Amino acid sequence: MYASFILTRFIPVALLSFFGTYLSLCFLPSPVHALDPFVSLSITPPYPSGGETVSLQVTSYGIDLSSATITWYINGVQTEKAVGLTQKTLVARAGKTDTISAVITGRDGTTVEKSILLSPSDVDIVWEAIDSYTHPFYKGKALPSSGGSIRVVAIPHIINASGSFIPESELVYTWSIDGFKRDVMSQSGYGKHTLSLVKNILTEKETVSVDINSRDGSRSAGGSVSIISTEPEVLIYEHRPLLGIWYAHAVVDQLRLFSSEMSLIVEPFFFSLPTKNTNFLQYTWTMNGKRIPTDAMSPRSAIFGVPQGVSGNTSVSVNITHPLSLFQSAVRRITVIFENETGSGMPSSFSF
Amino acid sequence: MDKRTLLIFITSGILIIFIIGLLVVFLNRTDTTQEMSAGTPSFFSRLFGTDNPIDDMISFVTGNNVGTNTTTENTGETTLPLLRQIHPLPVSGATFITISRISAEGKTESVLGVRVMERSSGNILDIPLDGSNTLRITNTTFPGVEQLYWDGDVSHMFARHLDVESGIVTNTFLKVIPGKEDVTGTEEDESQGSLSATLFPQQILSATSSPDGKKLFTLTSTSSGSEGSTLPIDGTGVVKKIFSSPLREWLIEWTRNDTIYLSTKPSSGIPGYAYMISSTNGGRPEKIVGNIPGLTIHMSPVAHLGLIGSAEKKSFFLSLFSKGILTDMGFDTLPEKCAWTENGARVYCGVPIFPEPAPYPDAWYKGLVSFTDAIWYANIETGEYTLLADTGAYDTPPLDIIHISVSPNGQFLLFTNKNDGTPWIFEITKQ
Repeated sequence: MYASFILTRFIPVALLSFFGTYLSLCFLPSPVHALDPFVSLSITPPYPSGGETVSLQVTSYGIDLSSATITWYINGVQTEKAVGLTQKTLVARAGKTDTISAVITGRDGTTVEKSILLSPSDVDIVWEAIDSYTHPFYKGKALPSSGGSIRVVAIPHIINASGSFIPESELVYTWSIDGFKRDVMSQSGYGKHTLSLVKNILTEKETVSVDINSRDGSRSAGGSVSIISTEPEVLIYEHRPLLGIWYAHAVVDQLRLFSSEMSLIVEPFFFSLPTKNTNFLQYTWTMNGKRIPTDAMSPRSAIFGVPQGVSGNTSVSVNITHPLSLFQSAVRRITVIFENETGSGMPSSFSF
Repeated sequence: MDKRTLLIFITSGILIIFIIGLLVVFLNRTDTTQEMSAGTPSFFSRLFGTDNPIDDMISFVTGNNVGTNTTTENTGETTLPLLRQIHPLPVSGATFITISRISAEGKTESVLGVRVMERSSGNILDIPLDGSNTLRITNTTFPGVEQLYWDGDVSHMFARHLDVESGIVTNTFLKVIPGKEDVTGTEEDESQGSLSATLFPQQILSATSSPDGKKLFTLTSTSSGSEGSTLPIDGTGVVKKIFSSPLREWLIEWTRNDTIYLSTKPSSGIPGYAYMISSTNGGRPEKIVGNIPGLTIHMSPVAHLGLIGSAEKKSFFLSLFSKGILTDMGFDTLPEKCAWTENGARVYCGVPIFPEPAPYPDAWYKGLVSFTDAIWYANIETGEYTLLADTGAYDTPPLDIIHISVSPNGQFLLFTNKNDGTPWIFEITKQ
């Protein structure tokens, strides 16, 4: 009877209890990690760029952090340890991946460890007004006029887990203009790191944004840039025989003419040109309000001649219009002062 | 002596003392004015002093040390001005050269000089810096060169010149063919050398030469952006593509043999970015600085050291970039108005005196504003900076310094005055 009881009741119950306990122990979290879900380690900003100061913050609903001892590690090396030290700031190292860990030890001895990868992600957003005219030796940026074409390029600096940069062609780009993604949806996607747009004639400023993600979504970066339209500008330069165009000085208001002849040339800064051919634009030269016919082959140039013994001044203006855009035009007015040792009065000859 | 005579005597004495006092004050004041206008060290340079023995050798320009002397000056008894124009006509380019010549005693001697290409003629001239006569090396006419790059031994050049009618820039490899001894007895002077020209068939956006002068880096426009290539500066050899970008508007400079720097073309207030690539194989552009308004750069021959310019709200600022950290320089100018010494320890800059408010650098590039520069010196190792020449205080034309370089011996600065295109020398160290 006793043996039967042991065989039929006690052993099965004991075995069940043993396995039950075993299974419970297997599946129940250990005391060390019991509060893990209630502790979080966050980073601000979420996608820091290289050299940027980042802030790491431990928060918890399960542990009284004000009485917990928090130890901070960078790549396994302890850097700080104090009671209630929930925040840490550091500078994100460009081109490096650092593991930042916080070990939280509660008053009851429970320990939670949280880690985060600090892998600075950065994106440079550079734009160019691709059809905006400047002369070939101009070292400044070509600026966009209303209706001009613009190319925006994202240059991401995103590091993968192995610490190398992810090629720009292997990232996913989501572009938006003034917050709207739909208009440029076709230009978003895998490897699409450039965006083309036409400068809106109704708004002076447009903001282009891009969000960039790795294919697995583990790495991200983002940024935006504002593009402001400008007015085309007419600048007049002296074209000196043998020396070429004297770009060092633009003729802004006045031109003093001492020699018998002087050649001037206009540069139509920031007009949209489908090619670099400046003859595409329409030039109207006037002298003292009277229109002067231009040479179709070189409408940008004019030659001033001073008759012998004549001094005086004359008002000259050049007006440039775009044949395809009402929004692109500019004018420059200058006073040409003719100085001669003898004589006075007006005029001068003007030829092209 | 009666009372009246005594009174006259005392009054006269007081009057004489008063007049002497006035004279002393006046003379002292005159001296002070002269000292200030003579470009003596500023408050800052007095403040920081110069402990470095090399720094102690640096000249301060005085009124007598400024001039527009040309190289035809007879230096037999006179002292050459420390700051002087060395050629009266605009040049397309200028570079230091060691000139070999036969002395009066019949010995071969070397003298430091400057080789220039005269812009109106294209002739090559050698100008000795000891003030002796200019030597005309070539008489081939090649006028209107806008940009010129020299090779290391200054016998080859890469010239860029604009055809005004077409708007196309022509690029040409030039070679100096030295003259021979004039033995023919004909009217033709064989002692004059000539230039041989070979057209570079490619249209390029921009070019820069390597520090050793052996190679060029050129940027070419493509349908999708731009490509960068290196090639020998003499036009022979292989063109090697090392860079491509969807962007076309790059400013390029090659100030370290192994590194080429690229920065986005600047405009006031618009964020700019700068990168570097290997000059041998390009590779992924490594970012130097970014998101800086109106960014321009001039990097030193030393790694991770350069000048960074920023510009917004009608002003410009200069910072030192050293190992990833930007610090404010003691003066503000555009980086391209500065020259580094070979070891990167010192930098000399043309610094605009009271620049007018304008959107920089755009307004300066367009020729809407021009500067009158002072010459400043900064010792990067010690952080000292010193005013060397307050050119605005002298009877010289306004100097707007561009294309500035330091001579190999560190004694001279060579620069072009943007206002009139003429070459100038500033003697840094006392002889």
